[in-house]
Amino acid sequence: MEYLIHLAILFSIYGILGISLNLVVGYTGLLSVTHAAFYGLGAYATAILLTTTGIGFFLSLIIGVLVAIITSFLIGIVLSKFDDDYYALASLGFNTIIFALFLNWQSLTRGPLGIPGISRPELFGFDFSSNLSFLILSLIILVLIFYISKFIVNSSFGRVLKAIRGDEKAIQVFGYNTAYYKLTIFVISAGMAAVAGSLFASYITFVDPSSFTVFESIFILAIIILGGLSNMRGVILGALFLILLPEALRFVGFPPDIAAQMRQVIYGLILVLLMLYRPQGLLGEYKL
Amino acid sequence: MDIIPQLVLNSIIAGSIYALIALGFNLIYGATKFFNLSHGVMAAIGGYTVFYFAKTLGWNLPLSIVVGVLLAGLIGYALDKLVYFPLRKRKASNMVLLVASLGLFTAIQAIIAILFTSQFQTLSQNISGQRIYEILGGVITQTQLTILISALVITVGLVLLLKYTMFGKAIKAVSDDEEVAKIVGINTNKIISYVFFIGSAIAGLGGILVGFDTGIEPTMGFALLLKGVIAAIIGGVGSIYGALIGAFLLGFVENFGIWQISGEWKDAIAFILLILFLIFRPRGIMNK
Amino acid sequence: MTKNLTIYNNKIKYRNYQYNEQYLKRLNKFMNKKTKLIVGALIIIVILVVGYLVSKGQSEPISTDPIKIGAILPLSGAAAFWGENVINGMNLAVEEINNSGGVDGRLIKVIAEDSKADVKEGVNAANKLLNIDNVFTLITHTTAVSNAVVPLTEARQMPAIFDAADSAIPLNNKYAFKTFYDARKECKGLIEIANKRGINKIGLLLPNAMPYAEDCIKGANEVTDNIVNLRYIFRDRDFRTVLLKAKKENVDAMLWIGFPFETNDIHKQRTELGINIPLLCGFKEECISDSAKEIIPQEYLNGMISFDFQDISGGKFGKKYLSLYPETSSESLVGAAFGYDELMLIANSLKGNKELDTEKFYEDMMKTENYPSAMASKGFDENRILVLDTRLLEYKNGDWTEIK
Repeated sequence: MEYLIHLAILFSIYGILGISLNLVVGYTGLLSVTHAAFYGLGAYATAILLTTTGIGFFLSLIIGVLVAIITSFLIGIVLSKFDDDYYALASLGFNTIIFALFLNWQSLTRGPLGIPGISRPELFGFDFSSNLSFLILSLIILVLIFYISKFIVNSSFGRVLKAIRGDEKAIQVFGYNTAYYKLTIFVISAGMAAVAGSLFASYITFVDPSSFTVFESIFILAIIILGGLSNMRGVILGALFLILLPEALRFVGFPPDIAAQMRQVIYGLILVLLMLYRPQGLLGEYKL
Repeated sequence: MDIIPQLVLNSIIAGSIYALIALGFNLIYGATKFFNLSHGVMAAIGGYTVFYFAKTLGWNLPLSIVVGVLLAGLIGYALDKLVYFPLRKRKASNMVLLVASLGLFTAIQAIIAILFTSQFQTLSQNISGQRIYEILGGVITQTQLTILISALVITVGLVLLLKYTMFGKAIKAVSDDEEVAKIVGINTNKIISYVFFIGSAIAGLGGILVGFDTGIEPTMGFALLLKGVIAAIIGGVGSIYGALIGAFLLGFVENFGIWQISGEWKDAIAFILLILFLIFRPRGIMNK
Repeated sequence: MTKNLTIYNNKIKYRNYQYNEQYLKRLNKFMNKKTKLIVGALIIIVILVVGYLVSKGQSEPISTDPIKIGAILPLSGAAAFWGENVINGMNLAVEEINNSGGVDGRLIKVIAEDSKADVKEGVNAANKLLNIDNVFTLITHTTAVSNAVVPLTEARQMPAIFDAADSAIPLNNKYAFKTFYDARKECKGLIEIANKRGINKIGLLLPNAMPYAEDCIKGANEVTDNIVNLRYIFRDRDFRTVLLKAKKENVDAMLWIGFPFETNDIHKQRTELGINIPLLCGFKEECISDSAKEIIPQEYLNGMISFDFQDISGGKFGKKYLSLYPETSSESLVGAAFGYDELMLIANSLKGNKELDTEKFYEDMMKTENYPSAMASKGFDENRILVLDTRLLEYKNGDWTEIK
């Protein structure tokens, strides 16, 4: 049961990451490969504040969100100059730069040694040290983020986003300042990712740079593509699938000396097959 | 050996390796417009094929190299026919292709690890057989010179191919606009699969040469790919000369970055360079 | 004629295209419901399987079953070159222990899970081993994963071994035992001996992103300020420019603690560039591998100083391991040696503990003195860090001699 609770917590964290990235990639059509950077900013904010100051989890979460908002604002301004293909690569570049900061700004982050000993959240005297209570916390936050995102997407703001995805020039003709919309959703999405980061830091109680590489960004991207871009329930399904699949594979019997690598082969093949037989994702309707 | 000329030579050597990956990537990206994560793994395939035939089976070295290059090309061709082409036929988005290529990259890397273990290997037999040349005050080994010459020869070869042969012109047509090329009657899918063959073969050669210069290991592809992509973008996506120039520029900036600043920031410097280019010269150096 | 043919061809192509469209639409509708069902079923199956195994794990019979030891290792991905050797060493230990009757007549079994050197995967693996397999103790490799797993074992008051480069792990966690090198001691010792010999300007040829490098720098800083930063990106095999930097700064020696796969590259490039600055490095096979001895000219190898563990390749474990895995390069042995030792430490401390009492196990681990070690270790110090018998060696004319 503990095992499942743990997986469920991870699922909620990645659900938040997926939903937030989906706002940018699925609904607005911007291929952002830098989400792990904002995830990391939230995680490090919580890690640093909880271990070196008396600031509590929820305040650190807010600070993490602020840091992510400021950073994503600056990055977003630069990224707005790029179109489609270059956008992805430039965002990847920013991920690498922020990763390098996590790694090399040792006085702040302790570099590769990471920050251990992060405490669990505390609210009005209630301690979230049991995994079950943490799961409930993270699920509540996941549901909140889900509904906030749904609200955004179904609002007129969301309609503009979808229009940008469809044909940016067309909607510009109608007088919409698309740059403002793109930047806003990018910043909102980054803030949400930071929330996931704070949860991650407090749950695992340890952060280090290796959790926030370009690979992580690609993984989050895979979740939403698998789930079906611009479909929020699809994202949930995608997160469930990509978290549970490697775990399920642990129980499949392979000859022990190649078991781990065989699992990677199967994992890769399943991704390929899913794309081949379901290119719009599990629940998706939109094809970019 | 004088220091600054050696620094220049180091940059050129690094640049040549990047060029080999960038050339293949540029070619394939031009024709298909998606970020192919499995391109890097072709380098590993080339290197390990030579490892198998030359070192394990004891075959003649030049023959093994030819087999390695051809096999890398063939596997690239096969991946297109089996995975990417069916996806393109279904009008799958570039993101779906990205995830499919991620799956392939994961699976192939794991297969190589199963077949050859994850231990680092080298292709070179010994160093005393290596000739060392002195050029303008710096030293360069025979292998490194081969890498440099290969990069130059392949660049020229590709330019000639694209400019003066029907096949080359067809490739250019597909790169410029696939729909129009189809309408004009070009069998775009056939062209694309040939492009995959050539591009993957070049990457395979890159992996083989890197194997001689330093060595091979199953996960070598991703890092090489990333650098190759940066080089391709700086130079101008779609431009063959651009891939070469971008690669050398990257090599120079990286090595002078290590020299002036420090080695830890090398990757970040590479990406900062990329982003600066994307901001100020988004079409790359060759500004098409 | 050709023009008509082209138009005709295009018309055919367009018609086929339309048919494809209709076919695709129908296929999509067909697949839509069915695929949803399949996917849903798949997820439910996964959940059921996991749930079944959870319940199965909780009703394991006792006593005659083998003692289960969990191992979290990087078995795939970028760090697999390390984990591969470790698991081989562990399996060798298990075989030896079980062939001589096991621990007090009871067999032991290692359940290894892949961490991919990734924190969340490592924690997944730990959760599975602790909650589903109900392992008696855990051996966790790689520093970041260890830091993430140790809260779990501490919460259970489970004595566990962490093969990590961070000494803070046993210092801050009562039940944690640490193996792996003590990079701080190594680097401190190397620079001390170097300074004694008048080698003063030291270049730190260390990778970034690696915790042991930070430990090493701490050790270096304790001894000297005369340091040049020669750091490189981990896994990069191009050392040429940092070596050039060493030459420009006129360093007297370069301190290098790294991974065995880097050693040959460094020597080759030193030789190619004519940079004959000696290295202060780790254990002797890592310092100068067997293949390096054959291909690198002697003058580039003389003067190396090695901070060596007891002879791994020449000892009983080394010889047996190399006979089983002849392809292994000598410098790759150390991972296997650690894996072997970690199993042996646990088995040794389980002797005379039939009820598998955790407190007794904990005390016996701390009191470890003599166990069949692959690297002539005698056990843990008061900080629960493995004490490795070390010595300083110097390479001259084809041989290592000990520095007193």
